[in-house]
Order: sequence, then structure tokens, then C-alpha cells
Amino acid sequence: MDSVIANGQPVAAELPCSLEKFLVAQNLLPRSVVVEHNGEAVAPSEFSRRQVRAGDRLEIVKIVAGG
Amino acid sequence: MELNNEEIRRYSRHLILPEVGLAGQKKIKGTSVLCIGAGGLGSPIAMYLAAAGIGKIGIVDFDTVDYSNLQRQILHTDADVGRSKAESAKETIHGINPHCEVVIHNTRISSENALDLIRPYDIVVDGTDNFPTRYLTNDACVLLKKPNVYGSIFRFEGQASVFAPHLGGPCYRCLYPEPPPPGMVPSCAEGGVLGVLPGIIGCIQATEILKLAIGKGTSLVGRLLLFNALDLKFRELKLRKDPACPICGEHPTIKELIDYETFCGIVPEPENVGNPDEVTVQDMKKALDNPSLGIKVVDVREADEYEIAKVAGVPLLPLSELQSRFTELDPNTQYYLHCKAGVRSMKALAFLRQQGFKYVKSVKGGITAWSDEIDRNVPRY
Repeated sequence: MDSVIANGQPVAAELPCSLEKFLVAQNLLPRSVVVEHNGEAVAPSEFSRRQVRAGDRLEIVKIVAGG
Repeated sequence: MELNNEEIRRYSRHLILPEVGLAGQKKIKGTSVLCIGAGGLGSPIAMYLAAAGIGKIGIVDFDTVDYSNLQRQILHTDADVGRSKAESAKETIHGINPHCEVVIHNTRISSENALDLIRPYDIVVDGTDNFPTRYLTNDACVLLKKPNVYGSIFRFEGQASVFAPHLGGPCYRCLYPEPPPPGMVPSCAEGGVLGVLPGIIGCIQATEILKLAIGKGTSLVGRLLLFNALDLKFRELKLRKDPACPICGEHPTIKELIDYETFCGIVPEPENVGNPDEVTVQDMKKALDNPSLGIKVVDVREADEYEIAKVAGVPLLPLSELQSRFTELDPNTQYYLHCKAGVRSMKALAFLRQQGFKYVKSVKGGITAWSDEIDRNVPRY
């Protein structure tokens, strides 16, 4: 299986696929994460159109609410 | 806005910084900040802003000081346990700098009062501990064009940014358009937090406020700063304004404050309070209608009942077979379990929790409630 580098670690995934699909496959809630794709900011409304390919770099941050 | 001799002595280390100077210190004195929450983040924010010479600090908090707060909420001392946090905060701030005007709002911020609370202040700082208040704070700040200095923390990690669509940056909803389903993201009360973490994130928020006040440096607008205390590492993500953002996008659909408890899926009915393991049939419908949420619904009734009545698209895994078949489920996936009325699904939940499943909820009222509230075509039996 192909992989991407997510938060510095290799992660196997069925690629290419949309960013939305990738996030769901990783058990993440797509509306509750911030994603940078190959160094670029991605707005949540672009997740379903954005294609993730083998070797891509992703930075993914989950929502937290504590204060 | 003038400084007297005592203030000139007090702020001398600022005054000799070329980036601040007398002009900058006067701007700091002329700035008012509303601090929403006087807890872990609010403590260092309010204390450092007061020490730095912010002219007016508003404190919004309806809570009282608890022993479990003292590990990180340094505005409050052992002697303050049981007192109003807003009152305790005012006393601490005055002890640090009597020149700082403190206005206390000993109330819960709500859709009814948020705009009036925020309007008189120049800058808002978000030190709240829950999703409804974060969305409310964001929306009110966007509508009033006030910078929202954001920070949030959990366990060993923190985030900070400055949300200011009126300055060209994104807002909170550009990052997180919808809240996670209730119970999916644990709070600090559930998951814990390192005591010094809000100190670090709160000081970053206070730094951003002082920079906004003097108009110097590069702000966190358009960037999300992340901190991990265990690795002692900072990293940063680029952010962008979402053109589809429901409040600051090109075609906003939110033009006034909404009901944020409902928006965040919090059901106000008294019978639903106090059981965090349950979700409603409305939550179940949302999960089925939105596969992108990643929540799977499973029916734990027996096969003959499934034949009588079922919800389309929901697979069956009877409670009687769960012990031998639970490995068919993924312990990291989010599941909503339903049965006929909500009792067996709670048993299934308890069993799966023991097996290490973290994100399992039971649907209150089961398929009977589904039939009553969602789809009358599903027979009641």
C-alpha cells in the first residue's frame, strides 16, 4: 500500500484519494481537524476536492477545547 | 492618555524598548481587553496584561473556585476556594497593578448577552473550556469585527492563533466549521492537563494582545501555533480564510448569534443531563446522513427483532454474539449502538469499553425512539 508522511510519520493509505476520504480512513472527523498539505493551507470546504498522492506531506491537528 | 511618575517607574523596562517606548505604553494603557474565562488560560493572560499596563480588563466567568482548579489557575489561591472566580480574579489583578481597571461580569456568556459584553472592548481573548462558548465567542467577534485571540489546551498540547477576518485572516469556523459530536473530544476534566501548559499558551495569547495594542511585530493572524510539552516542541500550520465559511465567507449564512448548545448537539432536557454515554436518535440520524463524520451505527438487537423492524443502512451485531464477534469492529472507530429501547445498547457499550473501544455511545430510546421521532414507517413492536 502507498503511504504519505502525516505529522512526520509514514501512514499507509489507499492512494490517490481525496483528503476527505483520507481523513475518514484515519478515523478523523474532517470538520474537526486543521490540515496543511505539502506546506499549503487547505480550507475545510476544499477537503473533498483536494487529491492526496503517495509521498505527500500532511500536517494534521485535531480540535481541542480545554482552557 | 498620560502616564504619571509612578507609572513611568513601573513600566520603565517597556519604555526603554524602542518597539514600545512612551507612545507604545500609552497605547497599552488605552487598550481594553475582555477575557472570557478566568481559568487556566485566563489566569496568566489577565495577570500579565495587568502587569504590562493594559488599561481595562473585563473578566467573564460565572464559576466558583474549586480545589481542582489550583493546579493551574494561578489567579486563585487556596483561600479563594468557594469564591466567585471573577471576584477572586479582580482582587489578584488589583494586587499586581492598581492602575488597571477591572470590570467583572459574574455571568455565563450567552447568545443574549455576548454582543453587549464584547462591544465596549477593543480585543477579546478566548480562555473558555467548551465548544459552545468557543463558537459563540467566535461568531460574536466576527459580527463585531473584534480580534479574537485564541488558545486551547488538552493534556500536554496547546494551540494558539489570532482570528480576525476584518484584518484579512480566518476565523475559528474557517478551521473548524462544525463542532465534533458531543462526547467525542474529551475535556481537560475528563482527560487531564499539565498544570503549566495553560501558563505557556496563555502567555502566548497575552503576547499577541500586547502586539496588537502597540501595532508591532508579526501576529498569529493566518497561523496556528502548536505546542507539545512532552516533546517540548513548537510547530506552526498555515491557515486560510475559507471562502465557504458560514460566518466570514463570501456568502455568510450566519448573520446573528444562534443557539450554541443546540449547534454543539447538547440536549437541554433534564433527563438527558448526566449520562455522557448516550446520544439521541437525532444524533444517530446525523451520523447516518453524514458518513464523513466517520461514525458507524450498529444494531445490537437479535436477528428476529431485526426482521420485524430495522433502520435502513444499519448493520446487525446481536448482543448475544458480541462476545465472539466484537473483533469485527474497529476499537478506534466511533460507534453509536442501538437496541429496542436503550438498555441492551448500554450493556453492549459497557462490554466494548472493557475491550478497549474508546468512542462508543448508546442511542437513548433505541429504535422505539427512532420510530417516534424520526421515521414513523419503522414499526414499533
